[in-house]
Amino acid sequence: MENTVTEQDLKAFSETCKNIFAQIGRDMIGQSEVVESTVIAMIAGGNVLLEGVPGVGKTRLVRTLGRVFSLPFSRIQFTPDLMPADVTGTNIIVKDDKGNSQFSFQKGPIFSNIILADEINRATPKTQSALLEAMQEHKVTVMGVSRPLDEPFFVLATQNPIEQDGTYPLPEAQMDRFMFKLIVSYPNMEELERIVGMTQVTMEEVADAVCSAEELLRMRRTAKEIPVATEVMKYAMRLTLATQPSSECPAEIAKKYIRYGASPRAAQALISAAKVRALMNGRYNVSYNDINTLAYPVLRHRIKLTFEAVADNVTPDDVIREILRELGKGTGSEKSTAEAPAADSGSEKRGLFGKKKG
Amino acid sequence: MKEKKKLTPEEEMLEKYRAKVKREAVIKSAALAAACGFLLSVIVSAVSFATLYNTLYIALGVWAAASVGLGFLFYFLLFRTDLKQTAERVDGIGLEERVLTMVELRGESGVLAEKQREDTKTTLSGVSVKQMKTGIPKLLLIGLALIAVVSIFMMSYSTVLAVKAEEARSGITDEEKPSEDDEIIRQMIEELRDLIDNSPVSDSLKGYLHGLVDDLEASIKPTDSLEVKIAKVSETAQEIHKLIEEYLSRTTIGQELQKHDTTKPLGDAIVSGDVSKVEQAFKDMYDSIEPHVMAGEYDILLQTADDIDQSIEDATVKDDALADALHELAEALRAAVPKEPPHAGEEEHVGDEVMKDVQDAMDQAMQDIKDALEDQQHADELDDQLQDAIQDALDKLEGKEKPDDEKQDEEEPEEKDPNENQNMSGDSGSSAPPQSDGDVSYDSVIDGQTPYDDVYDEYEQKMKELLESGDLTEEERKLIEDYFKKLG
Repeated sequence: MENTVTEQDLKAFSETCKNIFAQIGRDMIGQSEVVESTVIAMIAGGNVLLEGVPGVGKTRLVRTLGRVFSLPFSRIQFTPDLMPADVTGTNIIVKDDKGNSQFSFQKGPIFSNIILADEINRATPKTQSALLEAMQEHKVTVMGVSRPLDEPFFVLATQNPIEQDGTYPLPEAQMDRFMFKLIVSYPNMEELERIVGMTQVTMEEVADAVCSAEELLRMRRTAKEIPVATEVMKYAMRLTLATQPSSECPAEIAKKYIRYGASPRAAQALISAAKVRALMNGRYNVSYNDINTLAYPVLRHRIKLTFEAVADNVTPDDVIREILRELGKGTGSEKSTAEAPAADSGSEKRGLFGKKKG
Repeated sequence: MKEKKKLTPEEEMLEKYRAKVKREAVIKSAALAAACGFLLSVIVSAVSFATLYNTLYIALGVWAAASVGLGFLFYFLLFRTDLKQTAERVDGIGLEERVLTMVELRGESGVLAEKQREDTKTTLSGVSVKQMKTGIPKLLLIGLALIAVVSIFMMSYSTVLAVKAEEARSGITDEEKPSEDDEIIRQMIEELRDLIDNSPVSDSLKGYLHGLVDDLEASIKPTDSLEVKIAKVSETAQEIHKLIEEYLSRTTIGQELQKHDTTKPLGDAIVSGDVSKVEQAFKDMYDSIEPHVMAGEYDILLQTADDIDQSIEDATVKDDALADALHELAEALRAAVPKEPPHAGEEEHVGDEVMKDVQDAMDQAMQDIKDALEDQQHADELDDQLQDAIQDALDKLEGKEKPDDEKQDEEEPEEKDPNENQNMSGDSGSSAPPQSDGDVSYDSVIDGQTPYDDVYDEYEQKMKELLESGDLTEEERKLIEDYFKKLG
């Protein structure tokens, strides 16, 4: 294994992580699991889809991240009349000093390091698709000219699970480009008290920038070097394949409730994110628990359930939980930090096959 | 001496864990092999169960061989663990795949590899071998226990069945297997039977005595104490001894006659039971008497008469007809003696007359004795024939197919040696009367016949049944009818 990581890299990673969470904590109360997962995705270079009801701090989180990482930040409020050019930018006719007209590319808000795609499901699929190339290849092509985006580049999108009228669910291709789909839940009583108390004093965000673009890229390089044992790697592959009903080793529940399983991007995302998580936790190797914990945010938006599952009130998280149980690798030792609380779906908590849980 | 293989730092770190894993592998191999061994022994037991042959030692041998052989096989093919598998087991304590990764990074010297190794070492120092869960599945142990119990039960059960079957084949069952007490009694009874068999008594008496022993055996109950059993045996033994002694002390008229010089030839002839010898005996007696009488010595006649009477008196078994004939002979001999001694020169003439009387007396006696002997013989023959006919008829009626040896056993007492019969019946006369009605006395048994008074009713009843049954041949029917007509 070619190893370019130094002691300083490891130390810097640890220090920077500590600072990042400390600064985020100044503006964000609660949602620690969402914050951690978002940071993991950012370090791993993935995009994040935040799903939650209005007012739970999705936008604030993204703004805070922009401040903490000291990166240019763009916010795009997605609406039905938003056009792709409004996102990517467009060529406009400008006159030079001599009075000659010529096309000049006017950059859209996508040309930034951190993009907040707010309420992404309110834009039309055409506009949503404008993000596809940017999210995957980190470049934008307008009028046949490709323009690279600055690194690091992240899209942090939000969507509201309720108020489905006038929305356009993201197509699978778009969903697959999000490394994580995180469920932002309501704060609990204590968190709510602190949120209300803090905002009575000031609404301003006070987090300081503690991580530059270079530092973030270095952290990404460091994390990529974290070793993964063969068995753990195989486990991640097995987990991904288990979600595919037509694979060589599908989980039993997948045969019944999953129409389409996770793509290879899921396996990539699992390993990349797991490495960051391991290092973030002061470990120099990836564990089964890392994989299990990240399985929910990585897989939940990548599996398409059957009508039977919908009829039985089975959620993707239920299916993922069952698959993890079937694979049986230390699923019980650590609760998934990004597992969706059932209350978020607005319905009462149900187990598999629509049965109520106690 | 072979140098100990140098361990890598990773191997050294995991040595104690590896030892435990190895121990578990050995235990699992042994347990599984033992289970397989038990299964094989169950098969052997099943064979034993089916064939009823004791295969306990084969089953134990199969179990031991399979346990050892398969134990090695399982260990080397299934359960032997390498360092990586050990690492996985150690990670199970909660080390989050640190050990597994460390093992995979063996030999690498990068910063991350070093840091990872250090981190693993630090974490590993915080746990102990005891925290590592035992890798022997409970299911395996429960399964093994179940298989072992079933197998042991099967082995025991089939062995018990096989042993019982073998005992049955050799004629011994648990119920019949004598205890130590029973063995003592059995030996005592055996000795009694030997005594009876070796005693110089008639077969009839032997049969009677064996009957007493049979009764003794029947009277001995399993619940009896040893003392009671011995007492019963002793009582019967005393009775047997007494009967044998009585038998041995008994004499017939013929035997008594043998004791006197004057009557010895006659005694020999009567004892032999041979009619032709009687004639010769009288001839010899006549020849021995004649010289004395011709010489005027008539005491020989008186002496002979006295000896005859004395023999009749001394005999304990008497044939009335024979006794009467001999007594008349004795009287005739006395009567033949002249009242007065002959005058000189007349001895020869008187002697001729006396010898003529003696001759007449002897002829008369010889005829009577012959008749008595022949009557007895004829009665015995008729009796035998009747017994056979009755037995055959009974067998036909009952449809019995007795084994040959059993038939032979039953026939044995009836196969009388004529000589022995004579010996037994003394002078072929009638036996002593029964002691009571319906009770056959041992005297009659000793004489080799049962008084007709005692058995006549029974014979007559059976005779009627037989004749009415229609199972007899005409010849048998005639024989029986003639016999009962004679008995009158």
